Order: sequence, then C-alpha cells, then structure tokens
Amino acid sequence: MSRRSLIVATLALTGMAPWNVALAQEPSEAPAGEPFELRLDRGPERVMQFVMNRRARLGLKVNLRARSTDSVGAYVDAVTPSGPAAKAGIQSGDLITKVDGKSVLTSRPSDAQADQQSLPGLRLIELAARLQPNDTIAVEFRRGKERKTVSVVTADEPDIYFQAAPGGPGGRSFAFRQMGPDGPRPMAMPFEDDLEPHLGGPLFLYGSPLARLELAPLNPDLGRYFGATDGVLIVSAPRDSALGLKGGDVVLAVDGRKPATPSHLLRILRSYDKGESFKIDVLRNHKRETLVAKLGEKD
Amino acid sequence: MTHLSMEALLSLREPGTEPGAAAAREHVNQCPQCQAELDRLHQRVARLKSLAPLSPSRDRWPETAAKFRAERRQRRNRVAGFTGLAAAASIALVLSVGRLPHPPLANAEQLNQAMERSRALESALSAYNPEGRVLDGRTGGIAQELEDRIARVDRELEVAELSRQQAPDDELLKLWRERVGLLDALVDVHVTRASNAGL
Repeated sequence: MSRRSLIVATLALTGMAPWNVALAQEPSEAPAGEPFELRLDRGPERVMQFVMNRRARLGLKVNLRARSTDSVGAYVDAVTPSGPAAKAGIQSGDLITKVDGKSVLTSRPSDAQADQQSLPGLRLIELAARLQPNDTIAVEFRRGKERKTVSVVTADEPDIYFQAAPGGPGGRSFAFRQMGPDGPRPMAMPFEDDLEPHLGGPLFLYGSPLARLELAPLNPDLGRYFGATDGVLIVSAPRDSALGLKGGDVVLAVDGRKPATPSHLLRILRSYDKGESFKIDVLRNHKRETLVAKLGEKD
Repeated sequence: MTHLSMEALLSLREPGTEPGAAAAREHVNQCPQCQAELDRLHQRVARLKSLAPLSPSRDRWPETAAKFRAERRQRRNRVAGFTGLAAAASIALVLSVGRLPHPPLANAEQLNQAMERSRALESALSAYNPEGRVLDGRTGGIAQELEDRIARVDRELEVAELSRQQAPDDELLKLWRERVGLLDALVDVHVTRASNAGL
C-alpha cells in the first residue's frame, strides 16, 4: 500500500479524512529535484498531505480560519514551549509575513477561501513542509506595528497520535511515525487489558538518568569567572556518576554538539543510551579537557 | 525566612529516612507557607492515585515496559521518595484531561477561552524565562516530557483544524484544553521548584 493510501485509510479510520482527500487522484509529491508547487487552489486537503509528510517543525500552531489579519500575514495561535519558534522569540499573536524569504500572502483565488480558511496560514504550512530538521531560515513577522526578522532552526517533527472517532474500534488510537523513505506508518494502540496494571506515563520519570545533575546557564558574569563565553555550567554532579563531570565544569560540547542552555544540554545527554560512550569537552580549572563519558546505572 | 526546598518537603514523606528531616519537620510546623505547600503535594499525590492508567502507543510499548520493569527493580532496592510522584502528578492530571468527560457541545466562546488561557500561560512561561535559570536534572526531565507532549498536541491541533469539516469543535476544544493543562503543569513544575528552592 502506498504512503498516500495509508494516510487516507488511517484518516478515514479516525474519522478525520476530508472526503475529497480520499477521492482525489492528485499525486502527493512533486517530481524529484523540483520544488513544491504551491497550489492553494487545491484547498486544505493538499496542505493536509504536507502536514502528514513533513519532517521538520517550526514549533508553532498557525491559525487556519479566515480572519481580518489575513491581509497582513499568518496569525500565530500558539508557540510550542522551548520549540524552534519560541527560541527565536516568536510569540502567540504575531503575524508571520515571510518564511525563508517567501511571502505567505497570495492573491490567487482558492477553494480555501470559500471554506473560510486562512490562506496565509495554509501557505505557511506549505512553505514549512519544504524544510528539513536543523535548517536555519529567516522568519519575518509583525508584532503590533513592529516588524521583526529572526532566525529559526527547525527541529524534528514529533510523532502524532489520533484518537479514534467516537464509536471506533474499542477506543483504539492510531499513531504515525516518520519512518524515513517508507514514509509514515500507522500503529495500532494496544487495548487497555494488554497493558500492565497501573502503568502510567509519569512512572518512568522515577530515577530517570541525569536526575541528580544541577546545571546553570553561563551569564556574562559567570562566564568571566570561569573563563568561558559559551557553554553550560555544572553546579553539582554526583560523584558516582559515569559522566565524570564535577561542579565548576563548563560543558562546551558533547560529541561536537554545543549546548546553548541547561535544558539543551539535558536533551543532548538524554539522547544517549545507558552504556553508550561519548565525549564531553569541558573547561575545568580554566583548562580545556575532553572526558570520555557514558550514562551509567547510577545516572 | 528561607522556605524549604521541594526536596526537603518531599523528604518528610518518610520521616527519619533523609538527613535533616527532623529539622524540616520542625520548620514546617512553624511555617504556614511550607505547611500549605506540603498539603498541596499530598493533594497531588491523592489526585494522581485516583487517575486511570495511561495508554502509550504500541510502538513505544517495548521500550516503556523495559524501563518500567528496570525501574521497579531499582525502587525495591532503595528508599522510595515521592519526588517524582508529586512532580509527575501535574503531568498525569493533564494527560487525563482527554479522558475526562467534557460538555457535549463546544461553542466558540469555550474555544476562545481555552486559546486565551493558552496564550496567557505561554506569556507567563516566557516572562519566567526557565532557560535562564538553574535547572536540576529531575525538573528538566519532567519539563522536557511536557514540552514534547505539547509539541504533539500542537501538531494534532493543526491536523484537526485542517479537517474541521469532519472534526467537530469538540475535538478542537479537547485538544486546546489538553494544551492548557500541559502548559499549566509546565509552569507549575518550573515555578514551584524555584519558589521553594529560593532561586
């Protein structure tokens, strides 16, 4: 079954597929080597395909209902905390006017207009679908009368989950994962009685790796004291940790990845499995050292 | 007066098992603010215990089950604090939002209220600036779990809105409420810890 068929079938199962998606015969991808053709006249169903297939995210939820500000730009309904847009300073209520140098405004008539959809919102989604994770792009927006341009570094798109439609098969849900060249794949949720009793999502937070680390951002004053301009300060680290870090260390990079904030450093460290070795570049007593570290049982 | 840190408050769960627990208990007896915070933590635990279990997707099940079993073994061999339980209560509460019965008919006003609340919480979080503060690994782990879940909700919102002809406003309202709950928990995780640690 093709990727497109899977998407349509699963959307249909979840009761969310627009009928014209299921019936459309349009190929879902542009020929290799050619850019996406912006065809908003095909309406939101084509944009849905982009949403389902895209690999990178900007970290914002754009308004998709027609509104008076559509003549200016795409209205930002919400910004994902610590996501790419939030890090770049974009806020809810901002009006995005350009993405990667391309305007979100269009004067072409479209089915979307008849459906009371926001053309700039749809256009922004289409533009964002061209992006890959870790792309750095310029985003122009308006906040009140102020015009701003920021650089946004895109991130991986998260998995997405659909609740089954009311009356669906046993309250099951379906999940999509980005699976590389084979595209997204629907996954059936287990029934409740398949699960171990009393299993809850938060339980795995108990004793999670790195819980005993304490980290601080390196502000200019701390930076002068420790002799560093970038990095994350280790306030305290457990002595029995296999990480080898000590209080007073400034972490400069982990396997070449430079942490910008304590939260970022935690995300980098959490990307390793227990027992997996990696290198941490630190400033210790004003001298640069490279530690060979791993996440041990006690981390 | 310096108030007790979250860790000190949590150590009172099992008096005598943590160094300084007796002094912390004495402080709590004299400090209305810390007493109130302790009461709040106990209430969270009680609410957590009353929740239905969550259902992770099958693709994550082997990983989750392995973690669960490994961590259950670890817990048997150590004194179990309830730090994670109390802090994770916020997550569990908001994750259960989708399962709670909502009014059958959503209207535009309810939707707007949820969206407005979401904006207000985003603004509060931005003003608090957690990225510029000291962060411990436990808090950071919980916060990142919440952020990841918000990212998923945001994508689901986008899809639901695109298919609005088939997805009723109830579905959008449920997602926006879930987002608000997650954001609320995220603010709570950051601010509660900092205010109690005096950072």
